[in-house]
Amino acid sequence: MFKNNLHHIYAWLLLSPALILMGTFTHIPSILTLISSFFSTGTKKFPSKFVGIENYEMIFDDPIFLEAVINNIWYAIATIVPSIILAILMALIVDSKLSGRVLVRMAYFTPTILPMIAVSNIWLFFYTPEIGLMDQIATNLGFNSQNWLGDKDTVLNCIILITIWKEAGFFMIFYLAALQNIPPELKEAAFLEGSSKFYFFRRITFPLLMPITLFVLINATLNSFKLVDHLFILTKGGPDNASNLILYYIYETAFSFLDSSYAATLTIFLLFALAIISIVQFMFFDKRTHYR
Amino acid sequence: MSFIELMNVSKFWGDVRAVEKLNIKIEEGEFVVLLGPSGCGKSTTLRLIAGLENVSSGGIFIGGKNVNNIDPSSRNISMVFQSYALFPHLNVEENIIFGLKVRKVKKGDRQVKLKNVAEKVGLSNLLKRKPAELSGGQRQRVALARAIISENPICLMDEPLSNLDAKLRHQMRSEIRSLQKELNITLIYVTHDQTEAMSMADKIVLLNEGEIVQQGRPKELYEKPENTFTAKFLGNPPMNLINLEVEREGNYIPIFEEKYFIKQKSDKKNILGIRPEDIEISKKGIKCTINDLDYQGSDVVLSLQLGNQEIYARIDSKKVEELDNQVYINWNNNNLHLFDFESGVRDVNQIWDAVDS
Repeated sequence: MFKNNLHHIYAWLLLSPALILMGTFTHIPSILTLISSFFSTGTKKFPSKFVGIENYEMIFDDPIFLEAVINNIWYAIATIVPSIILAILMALIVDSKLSGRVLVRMAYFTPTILPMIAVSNIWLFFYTPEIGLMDQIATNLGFNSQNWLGDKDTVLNCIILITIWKEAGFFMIFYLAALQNIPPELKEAAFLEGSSKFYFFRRITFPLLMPITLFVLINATLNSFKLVDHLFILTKGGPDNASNLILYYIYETAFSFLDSSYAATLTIFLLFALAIISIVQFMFFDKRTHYR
Repeated sequence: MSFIELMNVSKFWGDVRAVEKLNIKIEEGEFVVLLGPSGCGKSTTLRLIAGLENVSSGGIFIGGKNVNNIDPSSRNISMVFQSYALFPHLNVEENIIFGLKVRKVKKGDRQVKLKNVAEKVGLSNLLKRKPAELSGGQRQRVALARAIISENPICLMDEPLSNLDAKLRHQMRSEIRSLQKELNITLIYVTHDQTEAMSMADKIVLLNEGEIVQQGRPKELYEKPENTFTAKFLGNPPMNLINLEVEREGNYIPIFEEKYFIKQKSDKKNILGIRPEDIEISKKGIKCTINDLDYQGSDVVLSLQLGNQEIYARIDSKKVEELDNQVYINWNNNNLHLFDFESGVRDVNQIWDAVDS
């Protein structure tokens, strides 16, 4: 009995460093967020009090949040699909017998290792009207000068382009690793049977990459709802909330409008939405995925 | 012209020679084994025939046609890989009919062929399994089925049995052999295992360091090795090669102070070859001491000290008990082989008399 207890103590001692860190920075804040979402934001005059689900009801009457959600859904779809396709294409290119492929691999991966704030500043220059790279190309091709980040119709797509540019190289690394795990004899066996390159990709390579695609898909989805850093530098959610995304809106609510309870409510809402999306993705793709 | 012919085929990777000036003729329905130690170029040769690698020079002819510039898929060849190369996410059935689907064979025909082939290799009740759910032997059968369902006249196999255990290997050997005869496939088979080569092949092509050492029927290679490499490579234990010394009187086996002369016309320095099973233990002859006994059931392999050289003798295990530590060995002169000491090439013009002392 005594020996058994000692085992328990050892176990808890070994677990404690991770437990303390996770607790302090992840689990306790999450629970506190959940609690504060049921209270009103306290001020000097009106101290915080329990309001039940009143904060949650507010979500559905909030036009800016609705716009952020719609923006974010478009942002997610328009970044994830192209960056996965690009990532697979780039991985296939740098996996082939290409001279100087190490350089190409590095080039593809560079956007991922650059700090986002610096990258955003570079892109800010690209998008600057008149003198920016985009405008110079556009005017040389005979289009009118455009305020890329100042126009409601173009601003979100400009942000999307930056994200694709950044994420595709990162996902490529995962696909490249997976491609290099596919034994070359499979390709030889298929080609001996007369399979074309495209047929081989469709029947063999792509299905074998499914575990990676699932991983990348879940990661990319989560990332797309967690974006804030570009927005600080590039648009601050504007103009007229045209590039406002959920997490940036939560940040603004909490630290600009100082309504921490409502921000907590939005956070909980986002958390649940993401959990549900991940579970659905996982269940949908898991059946279609072959794990080695 | 033969069904498959390699004419002066060479393959270089930059400056590194893989194979050089190969000349091989293969008849229709023949079972040819490419045999040799690791790195001798046998797998490269197979891949050249398959078209997975391009020749550096020379020509490969199939059915009288030069196929140097023809795609692997148009060479009417199927192949079994050492690793089996099964598609891990497809079940057995999908793996087997992969090639038929590529070539857009109708579903009805596909199913008929599948049923047929699956029965032949004994996979009928495993068709829905994934490769990971199969044993090594079953995977081997899937690879085999995939190769024969295409009904290509030529099949290439790259060490197909090397991942199986000894018992299964023995069984698969005879199954592959009977399938090949039944379907009249021209089979080119790569192995480093001489037992496999001897028991399966119609013809063995023995390679070493990218060159053909000798080719012919297994019996020819075993009984008339053209050089010391063939002599050493085949047989278990391999042929004894005894270095001879030379004097004016002829070649002799040096045994410390004594000289056992071998009567022959040559006054060149030679190597004497004799198979372990051709050495007889008798009352008189050359005196040896027994160093070691290797019991192998019906036979015993003796390692004998002959002067400063060690030789092996294979004898009936029932006779071992009578032996002393000192024995006398003898042999029939018809069973002796003589090779040139410098080049290792068989000396064909020797006339033998007797062992003298």
